[in-house]
Amino acid sequence: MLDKTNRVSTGGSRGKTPPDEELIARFQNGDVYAFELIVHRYKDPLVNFIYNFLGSRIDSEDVVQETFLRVFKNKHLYRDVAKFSTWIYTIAGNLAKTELRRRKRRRVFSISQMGYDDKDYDIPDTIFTPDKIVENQIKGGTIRKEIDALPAKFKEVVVLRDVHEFSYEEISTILNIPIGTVKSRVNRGRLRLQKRLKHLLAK
Amino acid sequence: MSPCKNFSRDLQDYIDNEISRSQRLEIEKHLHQCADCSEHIEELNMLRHQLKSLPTIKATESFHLLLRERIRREMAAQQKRTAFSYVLSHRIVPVAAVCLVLVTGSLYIFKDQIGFFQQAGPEQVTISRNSDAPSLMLPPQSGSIRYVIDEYNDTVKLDRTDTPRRPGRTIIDSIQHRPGLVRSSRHAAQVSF
Repeated sequence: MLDKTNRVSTGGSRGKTPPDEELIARFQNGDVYAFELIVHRYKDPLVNFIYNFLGSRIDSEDVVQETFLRVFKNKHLYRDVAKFSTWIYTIAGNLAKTELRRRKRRRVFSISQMGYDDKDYDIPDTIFTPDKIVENQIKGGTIRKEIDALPAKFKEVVVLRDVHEFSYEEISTILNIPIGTVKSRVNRGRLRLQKRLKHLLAK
Repeated sequence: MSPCKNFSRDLQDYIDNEISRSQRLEIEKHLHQCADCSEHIEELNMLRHQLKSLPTIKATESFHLLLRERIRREMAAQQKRTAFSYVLSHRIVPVAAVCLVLVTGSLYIFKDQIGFFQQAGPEQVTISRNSDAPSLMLPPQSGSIRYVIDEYNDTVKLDRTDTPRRPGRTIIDSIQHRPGLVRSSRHAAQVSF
């Protein structure tokens, strides 16, 4: 039995034991506990990932729950040829896109559709622990604002590359776009952020 | 500061550590000489660092609990659907059973008429009237038999014709009798009510 502290991860799956692929294999063989470990490992990173696109915590959690539900129901669709993390991020990303399309159809006014200046960005209270200094809060909030202001195609690649630290190849798999496109979008996205956040980045 | 145009893409690879050792050395050499590129790369590094250490959202406490409940509900619904689709996929069974019952029932109800028109040869005719059916024992013969049950007198009138396909055309024998063994000049019949 694993030590519980080892199972909790907020920073992605890399470097943790047991590997994701072993867990999903165990789950495919009927070990539901392995699924619980997967949920433990991925719920926070996925909620963060989706939050970048939906801007609503409730909706993000809903999408992530749906993601896990899909994994639960379709566990046998996972094949060992791909990394588990890219598989689950692909599912989550697709569900987020579906949610965005649904919002568009229903003409829901989403914060991600607002312009930069009139954006009423609400940082959830819980993302900062009380001991973090105010400066960090402001910095984090500003960066998040700028990420939000990025066009979706740049935002998704930059978030996957620099926040979630996927390789270009993995991002190419998750988003189903060529590696060259991923690279150029990451480059352009970073340059935009760099331009906007110059005041925060200067030494 | 903007980086040198020729280096923009190389600097990205440099940051992402996706270049060969020789390329790396070449870029580092350039960075020493070029203030713009050097500043650019510093800012990019800083940006990456900031993005990596961005405050994160945690899933709410009840997330796992709600997920379990959601999965449980979904699985229950799926089982229901599976059961329903099983019935649907096997609906041929009850349908066939109903058809069988209907056919048997109608055969039973109309068996007298059917028996009447198929009279070429059977030795026994059963005339049903509700549950207490009169039973006629007839010798082998050709031709048709028409019968009329006289509800009031508890009798059966039998008409035999010589042409099976055109019953009643030429009556060659006609008897009317009550329950019991009835004899006529041509045949004997057992009629029971």
